Amino acid sequence: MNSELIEVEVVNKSTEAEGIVSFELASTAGEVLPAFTPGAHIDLVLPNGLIRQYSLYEHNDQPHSYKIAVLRELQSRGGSEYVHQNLNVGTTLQISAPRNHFELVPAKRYLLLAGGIGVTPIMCMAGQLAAQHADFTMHYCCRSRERMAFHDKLSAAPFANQVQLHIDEESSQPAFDAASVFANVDKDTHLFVCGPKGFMDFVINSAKAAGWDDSNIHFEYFSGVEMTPDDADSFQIKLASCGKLLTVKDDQTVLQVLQDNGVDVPVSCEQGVCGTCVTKIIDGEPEHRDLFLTQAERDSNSVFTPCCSRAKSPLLVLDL
Amino acid sequence: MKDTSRKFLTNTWYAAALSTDVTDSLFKRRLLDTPVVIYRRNDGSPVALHDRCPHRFAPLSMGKKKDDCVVCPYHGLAFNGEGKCTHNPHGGGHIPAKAEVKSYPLMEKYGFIWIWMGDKPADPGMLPDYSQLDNGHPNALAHTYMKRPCNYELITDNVMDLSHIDHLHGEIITTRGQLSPQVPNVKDENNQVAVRWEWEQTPPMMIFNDFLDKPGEPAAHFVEVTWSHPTHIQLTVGATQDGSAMDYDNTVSQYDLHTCTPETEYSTHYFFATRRNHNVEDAEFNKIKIEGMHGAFEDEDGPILDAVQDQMETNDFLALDPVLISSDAGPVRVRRILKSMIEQESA
Repeated sequence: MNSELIEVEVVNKSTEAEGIVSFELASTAGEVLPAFTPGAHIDLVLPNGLIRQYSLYEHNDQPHSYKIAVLRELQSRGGSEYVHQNLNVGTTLQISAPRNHFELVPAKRYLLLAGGIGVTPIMCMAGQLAAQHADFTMHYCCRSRERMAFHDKLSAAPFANQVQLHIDEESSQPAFDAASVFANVDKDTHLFVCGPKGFMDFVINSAKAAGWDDSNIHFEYFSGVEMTPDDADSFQIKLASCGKLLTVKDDQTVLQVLQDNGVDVPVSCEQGVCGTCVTKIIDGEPEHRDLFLTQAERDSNSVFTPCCSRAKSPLLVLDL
Repeated sequence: MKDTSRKFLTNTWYAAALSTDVTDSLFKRRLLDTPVVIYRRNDGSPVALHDRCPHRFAPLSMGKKKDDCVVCPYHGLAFNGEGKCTHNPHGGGHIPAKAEVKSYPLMEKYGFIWIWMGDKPADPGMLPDYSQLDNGHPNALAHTYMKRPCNYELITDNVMDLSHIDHLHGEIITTRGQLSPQVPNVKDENNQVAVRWEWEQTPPMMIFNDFLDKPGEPAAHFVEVTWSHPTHIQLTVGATQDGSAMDYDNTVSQYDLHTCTPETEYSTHYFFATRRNHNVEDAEFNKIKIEGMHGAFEDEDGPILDAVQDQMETNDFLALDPVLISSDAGPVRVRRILKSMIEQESA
């Protein structure tokens, strides 16, 4: 991943809605950035070491900048909070080239559905489809107008009459009537949906219940509900007994690295449930990803589970 | 009296009986490996005594209630609700100071009689607030009880880990496979552990389907389970089709309390109460519902737990080095907190 990193600078930062800030990132070398297709995301390698993924919301065949929008998550694991506070115009950081796991497919008609911050890839798709004069409708659901990013932009867009807004607070009925939207089952229409997990589960289940075929339903979970290697960083561990320094790559667990180096740690469940592998930490700050430790133990940062937990600090010194 | 403090947490409240269990007669039950007799004074207030006369150790529960006292069946010594001997028919009637049985603090709340068996002063504030059970129509509330030949912590594990419901239980509470794939959100605070799941399913859970606006259509569901020491588990489960807040008040839902009291290390009194917020006046439905819930435990959970206990041949679950999976996060957290509380108490 590192070989493809691009250095960019924040050239614009603006508030789009309550809790949502957009950033425009341009190459510090002044070069055109790699092209992408709607639905693509980039990794931000934050100066604090975290890596986070954000979708690109505006399409351009020859991008001189990338535009992302970031919701400050209430239960931020350190990414969105950091981005909001510390990325300002002039900040430089590294990003990956765009990757797309949420590509548009050729279809006669498109139904685009966005929930909350899930609007970013969906709006990008809408822009592209409008440019191609494709047949599409976009639905955008949000709790309140204050939290609705890009409301004005969408209202003023050339495709504004193809966009329907659904605002919970302004409706006594459920703002988004899934049953009627999905009533016309049609194998030539493809559904693209992005948003919070609860929203997506609801939309996908509603579509399926209405008889939509799985192959016509396309989705991307916006915030990583599953922990994927994409969400992990490389860091180092040091064994206190011998001073040995080992690197844990982004696709490895601490446990694998220990075992590969002949360090025997008892293990059972391999997923942070049983506590068999709990290991003392002498220095450094772990990123707890287990379910075993109590809140008090978690807060003390004196132990962690090497089977699944990682590091917030660049180095963890382990009592091994 | 046996030293049970190393096996069970004692300075805490356990359910001793359903309120309806204790009427005019003497009610006996083994609790925390200790024989206890429970009865009501003439004013209706319940009392609990160690069920063993200090003289020749006859069970007082074989005797008779006389006024506010219990009279030993063997030699006629009488003891009041505080455990003091009030009458000795022998010799000159002298009552030795040592003629006393242990009396246990009781509290009657939420349709249960709760007992405090530890040595520290009883703390009424330690029982969590389950007053939701008291709020609503009488026909929307029911209690039940059963005894199981297994260690009490296996029952706690079973309720804290609801991922088993799609595997063990039948059509009535299936989540259509939605629950197991989720890693539940587990929180612990102040010696309480809460686990919550949310999911969508079609059709809705059968227990709610007929009471939703659009039966058979997709519904959002939640279940939240909160354990408090030693064995109280409050479970709220509900479904909604209109995007309302996922809690008891805003969904078609029910509010349950599961609580277990060890009889011995290998047998458990299992108490259960349920309050619902729909079809609240229907007494016949209320009866069918509690019988159904009792039946599900009796016929589905119970036999598995009893058999698990047999296979384990111990009550030390973790010592057998089980292979744990994501759904065990809640049960493991509870076991750890309870174990540490028992260790602190017996230190």
